[in-house]
Amino acid sequence: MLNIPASNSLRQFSMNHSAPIRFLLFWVALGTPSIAADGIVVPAYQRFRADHLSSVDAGRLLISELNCQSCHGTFAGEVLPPRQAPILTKIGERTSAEYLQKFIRDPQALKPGTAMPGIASVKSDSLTAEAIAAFLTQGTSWRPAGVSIGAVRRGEALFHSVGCAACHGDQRDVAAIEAVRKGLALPVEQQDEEEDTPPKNVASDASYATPDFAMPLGRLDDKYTLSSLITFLQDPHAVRPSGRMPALNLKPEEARDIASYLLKNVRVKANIHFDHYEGDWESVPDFSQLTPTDSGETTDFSVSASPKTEAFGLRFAGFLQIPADGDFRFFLSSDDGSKLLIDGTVVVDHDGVHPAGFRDGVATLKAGPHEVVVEYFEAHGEEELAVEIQGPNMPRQPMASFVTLTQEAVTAAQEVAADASLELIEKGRQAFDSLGCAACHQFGDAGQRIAWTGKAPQFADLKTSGGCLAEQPAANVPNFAIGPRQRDDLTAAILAARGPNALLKAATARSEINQIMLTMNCYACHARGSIGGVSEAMTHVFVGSIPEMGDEGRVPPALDGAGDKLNEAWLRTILNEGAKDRPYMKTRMPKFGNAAADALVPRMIASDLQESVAPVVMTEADHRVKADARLIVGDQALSCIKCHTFEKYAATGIQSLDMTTMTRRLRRDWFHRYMMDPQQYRPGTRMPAAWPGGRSVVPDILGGDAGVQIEAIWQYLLDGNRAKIPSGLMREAIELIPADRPIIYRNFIEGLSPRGIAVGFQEKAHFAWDAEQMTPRLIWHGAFIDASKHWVDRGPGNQTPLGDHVMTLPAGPPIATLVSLDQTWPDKSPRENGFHFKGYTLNPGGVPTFKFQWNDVSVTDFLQPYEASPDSGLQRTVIVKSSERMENVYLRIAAASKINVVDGVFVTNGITLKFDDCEPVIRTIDGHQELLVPVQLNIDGKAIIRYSIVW
Amino acid sequence: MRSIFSDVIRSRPVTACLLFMLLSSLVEAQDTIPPAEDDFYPLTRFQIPQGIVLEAGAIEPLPDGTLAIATRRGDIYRVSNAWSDDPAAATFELFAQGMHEILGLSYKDGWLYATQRCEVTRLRDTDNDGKADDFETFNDSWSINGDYHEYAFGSPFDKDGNMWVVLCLTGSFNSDCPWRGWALRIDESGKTIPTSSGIRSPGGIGFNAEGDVFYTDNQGPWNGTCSLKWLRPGSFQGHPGGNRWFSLTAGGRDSAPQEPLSGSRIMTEADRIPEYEPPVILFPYQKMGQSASGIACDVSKGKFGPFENQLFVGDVTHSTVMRCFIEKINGHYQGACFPFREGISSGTLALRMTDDATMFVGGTNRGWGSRGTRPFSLERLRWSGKMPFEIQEMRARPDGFELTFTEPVDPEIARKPETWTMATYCYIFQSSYGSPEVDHTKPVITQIDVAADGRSVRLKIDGMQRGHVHELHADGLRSTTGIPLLHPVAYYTLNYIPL
Repeated sequence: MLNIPASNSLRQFSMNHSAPIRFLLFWVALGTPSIAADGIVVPAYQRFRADHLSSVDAGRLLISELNCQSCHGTFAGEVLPPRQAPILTKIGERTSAEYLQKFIRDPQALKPGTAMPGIASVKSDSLTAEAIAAFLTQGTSWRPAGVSIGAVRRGEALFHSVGCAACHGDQRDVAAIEAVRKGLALPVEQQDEEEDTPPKNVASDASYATPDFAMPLGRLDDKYTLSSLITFLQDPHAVRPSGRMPALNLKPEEARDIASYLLKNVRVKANIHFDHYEGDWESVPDFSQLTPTDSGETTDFSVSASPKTEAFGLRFAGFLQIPADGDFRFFLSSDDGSKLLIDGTVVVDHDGVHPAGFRDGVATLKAGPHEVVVEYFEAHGEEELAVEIQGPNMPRQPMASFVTLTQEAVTAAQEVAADASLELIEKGRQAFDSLGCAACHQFGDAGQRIAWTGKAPQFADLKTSGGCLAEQPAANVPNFAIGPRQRDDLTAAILAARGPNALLKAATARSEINQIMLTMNCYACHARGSIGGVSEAMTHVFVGSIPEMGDEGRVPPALDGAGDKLNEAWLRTILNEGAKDRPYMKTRMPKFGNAAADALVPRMIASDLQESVAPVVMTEADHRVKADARLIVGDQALSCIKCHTFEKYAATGIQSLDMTTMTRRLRRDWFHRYMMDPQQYRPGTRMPAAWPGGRSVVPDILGGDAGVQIEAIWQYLLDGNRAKIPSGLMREAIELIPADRPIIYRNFIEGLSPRGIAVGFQEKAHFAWDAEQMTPRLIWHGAFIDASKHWVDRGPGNQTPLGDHVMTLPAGPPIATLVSLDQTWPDKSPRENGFHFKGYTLNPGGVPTFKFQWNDVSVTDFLQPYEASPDSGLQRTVIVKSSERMENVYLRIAAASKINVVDGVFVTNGITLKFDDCEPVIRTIDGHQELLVPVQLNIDGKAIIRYSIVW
Repeated sequence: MRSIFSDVIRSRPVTACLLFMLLSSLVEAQDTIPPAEDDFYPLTRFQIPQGIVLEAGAIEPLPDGTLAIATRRGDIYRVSNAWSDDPAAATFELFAQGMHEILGLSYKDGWLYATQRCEVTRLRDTDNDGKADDFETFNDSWSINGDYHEYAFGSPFDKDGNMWVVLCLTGSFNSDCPWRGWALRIDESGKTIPTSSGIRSPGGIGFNAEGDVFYTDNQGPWNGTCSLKWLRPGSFQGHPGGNRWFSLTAGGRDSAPQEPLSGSRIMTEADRIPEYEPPVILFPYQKMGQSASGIACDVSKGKFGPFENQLFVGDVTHSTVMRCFIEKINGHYQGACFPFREGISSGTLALRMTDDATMFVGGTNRGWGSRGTRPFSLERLRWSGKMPFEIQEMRARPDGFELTFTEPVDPEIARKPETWTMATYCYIFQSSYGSPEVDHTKPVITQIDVAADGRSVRLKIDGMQRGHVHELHADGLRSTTGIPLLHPVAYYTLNYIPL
């Protein structure tokens, strides 16, 4: 599978074409033209050029994003610094010389849409590119590393939810995208099961396949190593300081997963030996005493080395190549147990049966090879193994790429050291200078930076027909591969800047905000004015954890009035640091950096600020006002807590924004206005108007005055996370305690079908009967049940019994005809076997008798407690009635790996069963035992089976 | 490149404008004695004894003169003296407990039929000790899978002897097990008749005076806003999630209606998909409510005041009871909704009008917020006998609307064009959640004819919009005695324009 985004080519095709992706990938692979149809990809250009951008504004955007200023000087009216080219210092540690060489020679071929210009003379002479690459990568080395499947899987999910795909487009195949869109109930281009047919169920013709305004990723597999991509994703601004690629505040493991996903096609040579064992253990066995069932070589410490998913062990061995003396931290995550040994010493011990999760240990190691062994076993259930390393100058990353099969340091294939000749490097240095690379790219550490020594005309003196704007730029002139329309737009912008009215056509805060949002591609996620917001093509990569919140729960908010809504400090924080204030929204607000904040924040405030709300004079003392506000937001009044979380307390309905962060984020004036009419500020919001028509629905509090009440809430929330918790947030248990009559609790009970009916008794022996399975499924002692799970809030989820000694009885069907005792108990559902629930009757004491029908056979099932020691037992009476003769019919009482019989009493799994007047049989079938009672009708067509249960 | 927000943003001035109108009407009302809902339909709240959590999901009068109230916690109480002038005389007695979220109650032939989450159960008290002792499963033909959203609302028996059950989807989007997203009929023998598909999240079910069956559905996927819908047998109600269960019907999978197109409009799809029954009344989101619930019909022949045969619908979030006038055009029901009564103590859920013209209103706000601040409530509404000045009916005409009034209007004011303002809009019919108001238009009122008796006004309109809500304001209108309308607004859902 190729890993090339089809973005540039796709745009040439009709969006309704039924299967464009596969075809296009093929086309890209055959031969990519150097110039894509729309030239340079600047997302806002491609997206808005047709509808929202004038030629001049479009040209201005291109000037900034191609950084024409680096050669041609200041361009009037720019609000943001232009997009700076990547800093090339130490590029050899993140990019291979081979990739660099190819890219320098023909950037558009490797990464269609890139802003990096090609140069004709370089393209025709392979030595120049090689020399520049050698110069840039001198003294560094590059280490490709394999990735683990689990990380790739997690990374794919992250890439398509945290925000990467909002700019870069969906990288998954069409089927996967359709599945996501179906899950979100978005239109999908349906392909019929049989054959390709025109899409249906889509009213618009927009396609969700990667649109032309997605920022291309290029061939990351060839370009990055795992380690360098992890480093880049965690701090993209370190090498791309202009903030166009924002930082998503990824945790180290998230950066690793996304990098693994993006580099999923990297193949490395096997470098780790493994032995595979089979067996059922509860701790890491002594593998030296066991015979492996398989051995081989692999590229990762991964469970994929085993063909099995249950009951196996793996022992990995190799040599860990430590680059320099120092303390190294090792991380081991496994399901189930594992150990990591270095030079025979256990460094991380993560033994035992448990779910995945990291443990770590430190070892002080000298440079050079060290014997490394990872031992792992999987008992049952999920299986996973991950081994990571972190050291001096080494970010935390998978350890596999540092391991070799033999003691010898590193093989050529594993690590490519840049060892070019000095002559070549010098030639590269000269070319870097003479070709003007340094005009855009920083290279070298501070103080040793290579400066650009060339000269180019200033904007005012530019000829708009020649130079870089020529259709075929001269041999040594950068060729930006701009499209014809882009050329026109650049020309228009350059000429407009010379016009006499250039300065008079004063930019407003509004137009400058637009310029910034276009430049930083804020519009990919946010609408403002009538522009932008999530596009139909990308909408499915915006997902939320609460589907019921609809688009409000997954799509970032429109920024209309944001300068009025958010306070200045918070606006700055959001842009400088990123934010994650909406717990239900998977997409994060990334960090764009200071330049963006400096440019955007004052303009947003200038543009958006509305009249301030007059101060509200409180007649009550501060502590009384806050107490009243606390009452207002709680469940006794407006119930804000139904939807808004309150610090660590979950809301009782949907989980909307944390109330305790409101005053940190918002402006008081806006808060007042918004509370009075949420719809006006956020059309379509689920936030109800709590003061309809300006009237309070809680007139008894604070005189019923809307303004006073809103102000009181504001004052109360100013206490942030020190504000007292509103009433209704702490769920109190609702324990149902049976007294004179049994209590019936019909609801979702763990271990039963959703048709569970629990019956609790004063005697503290309880049972839960399943009206789908037609049989009691659980018995327990002590406390009966806590109903608060279902009786507080909406009541999702299954409740477990509140008491102790919870025992499980076999599922239904409870009765079956077995032609012989070798016949397996029917495993179809009782309904499919002809069972129908008929309800229950209560005796005068309130004890239920459950009734069901099995085809023509009527059955009743009655359980009630009786005194036993040390806890009450249950006596069960099953009565089977039939007008027809019955043969070979059995009631199944128990199923377990072992059923013992002692003096006519049956014991299984801690349950003792004693029967009256009937003779159960124990049979062994399919590796377990079953206790069956033959159903024998007496003359009045009735069979009564009665037994006691003690546990 | 259309942004998904662009429509939302365009709608802002309208909201602002409405707010202004609302505020100005309040200011004006201060000049005279403002009419209040309490004067005409006083609300009486029952004191619920300590220890009883009466989250009323269904209400039904019993032949012994008590009122049965079923709760979300699965209890059924019998209330004695529920009709007594003194609400404090009411006493509550537990009749049954241990059922699963009861949202339907109906008495017939000695049995009380309770629709709980998992089945319809019929109960009776065989030993006359005041407690039910026989809980017989009447029908459990639908599945549940443990999702709290899978509610089941049950109706009384209809004119043909069938009970109706509307089944919420699994959550908002999907139907994970059989018959989620369907209305089923259950005949007297307990047999299931799958009847209508396309249901999303019902909030109540009831009959009109003719005995046709209606339910309320709520804003969400394929429901731009909450609405009242007609369960015409065989109809498709708009949400395709449950259509997979056509595979279990006699007609098989192929008998499923065509899938609606997401992003379309209701009437575009109604014209394309013959089974699709467009909503009878759209309750404009936030303007009328946010969560439509129980349904009651006034068949008291005037005992409940001037709204004979009209439907009343609850709203949980706004703690209101709304009023609906419906008429049949081209064989389809459609009509107008009006505010009727606000101030329910909790979130309005169950409505039940008893023969003596008492409307019982049950409330709960568990899980969903409401303006009414109590966690649960039981109230009743009766007509005080005073005539409110209201728009009684709003009928569509080929070239406009005809309004009738409960009191004669001041003809001079009624003839002034500035007395009336009308705007129209509709909602996107789409698979994602909800919809903003879209496609706004401003029709022109070209002629106003006031009947000689002042009881009706004919508005001729240029620019009637098929498929749109027609929002009419008449803030300045006065009765001949100078009284303003109690509720000067009406929202007519004009699916079909009569010929």
